[in-house]
Amino acid sequence: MKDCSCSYISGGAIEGTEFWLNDLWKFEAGDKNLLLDRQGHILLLKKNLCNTIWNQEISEDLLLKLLQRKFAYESENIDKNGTEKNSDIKPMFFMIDLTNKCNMECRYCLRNVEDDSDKESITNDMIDSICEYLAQYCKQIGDKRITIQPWGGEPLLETEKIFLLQDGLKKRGMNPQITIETNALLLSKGLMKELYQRGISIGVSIDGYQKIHDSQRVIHSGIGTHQVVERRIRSIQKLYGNDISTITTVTRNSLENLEDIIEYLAVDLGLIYIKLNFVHRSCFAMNDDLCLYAEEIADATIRIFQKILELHKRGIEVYEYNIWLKSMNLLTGKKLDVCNSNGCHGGKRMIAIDKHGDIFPCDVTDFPEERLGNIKTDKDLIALLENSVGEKAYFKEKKGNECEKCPWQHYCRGGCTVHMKCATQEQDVDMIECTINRNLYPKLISLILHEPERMNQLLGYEILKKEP
Amino acid sequence: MENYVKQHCFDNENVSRYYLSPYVYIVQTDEGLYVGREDDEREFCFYEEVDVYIQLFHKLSEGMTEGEIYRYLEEYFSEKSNEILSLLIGGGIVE
Repeated sequence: MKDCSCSYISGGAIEGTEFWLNDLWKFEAGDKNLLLDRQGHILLLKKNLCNTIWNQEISEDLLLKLLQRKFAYESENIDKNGTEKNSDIKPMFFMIDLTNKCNMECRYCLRNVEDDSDKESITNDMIDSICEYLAQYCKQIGDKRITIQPWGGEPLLETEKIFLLQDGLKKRGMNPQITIETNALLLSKGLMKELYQRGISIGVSIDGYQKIHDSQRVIHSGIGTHQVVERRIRSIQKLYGNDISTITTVTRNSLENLEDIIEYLAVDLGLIYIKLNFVHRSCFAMNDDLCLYAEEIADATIRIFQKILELHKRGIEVYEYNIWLKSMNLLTGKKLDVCNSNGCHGGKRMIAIDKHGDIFPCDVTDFPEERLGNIKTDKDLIALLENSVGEKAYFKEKKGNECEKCPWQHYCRGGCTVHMKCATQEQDVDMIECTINRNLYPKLISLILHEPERMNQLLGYEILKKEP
Repeated sequence: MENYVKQHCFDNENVSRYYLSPYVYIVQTDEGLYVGREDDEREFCFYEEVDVYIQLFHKLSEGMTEGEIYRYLEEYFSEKSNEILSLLIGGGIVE
């Protein structure tokens, strides 16, 4: 795929008007330009129209488009950088930490499942308290459209608690979306049916075909789990159809065979929704040998992207969540993901509640220093979070020396706080996310400019008009 | 998700037309139709004639002139058409 040229243009007055143009990046390919500003807006223009912005020939129609797309402002004094406002604090995604017990011992586990002293699960009373807390919160904000993720350990070790949670919320007039990520070992046909009837979404962890998966996803005895997981996935597909997603952790074990892993998921298993996440260092498991260097992540990112394109060319429908999400970031600005849409929204658009009712900004419930409050004492969640944002180290701005000139800064904002927390060396930004963004976003823009039909395929619908 | 929003490439021919912003979100609930922009704090809720608005947004995803939008709104909202059009354009729902 051809690249496109990129130039950075500092903001300034639009000649012949009383308006000001933001700082922006201009990507050019053929007769098309793509403008990108610091707030992540894009504007696609034919080159001859785009040039009118800088040669005093801009029309009122184009000026209106620039204003509405927020590329231009009436006054130079407007905050052009789109600094995040506290009004962005409105959690709508809730992880409920049911248990840190697990029936597996994955080599890269991020949870502290070794701490036997606190190895108990959430109580029924706490589930009820959480339901009441969430109901009151939704009443306070006037919005019931929340998503709940019962979490673990292995959440299906506490299936009854998941149902209790759902029933408790229903009793209080709520019907949130509930989604679980599971190792699938406990997914009997009966349980699958009940989850389906209750409308609970399932994501299954599978790291590839047997050799790869069994090298890192094992039970306590060290025996691999691939055979069981594959059978479960096929059973889920019979019930849920295509409405099942998988999560694949990419480690050093999987690097050489990345394309084969994706082929296995999309073709052998016929999965449509897959997600490949790079392993990051765990504070609890000894997984340094599985972690990848930045150059390896850069290379793997492009390989995943190219493999997905190749599958589409062969007529195979598959969507890799991270690629899909970043494409959506560019084309719609929709903050579809609390982690990867425009930086970390832990403690702002998502929180986690543990078995003691303690509130955390995200899945850091094993780190007591990250505790923000408790549902029993902090009834006003938004006030709690607003105070925390100003005080806690978790929320410290993540910015390196190169971020100011980086076109992807809006989408990245330094990446994942948890990744940085567990890294071996102190970092200004999450180097995993930074590396992915610096390598993937330029490819996505090239696709938008050179081959819009293929971008439409990546997303699964015609967001870019076909060229006549 | 509203799978009909589009990112158009503007040229001298279509730059004068109005389009549904690719940055909108549209959520239909029992209460009504919530419409807003991802980059804006404002959110509008339409409680009546929800289907009319949804059809309008579909048409706008392909582009309409100002006159076409106005005529469409006038059919359903008569004297309120101007107000609604201003709201949609001022709110960045229609670009």
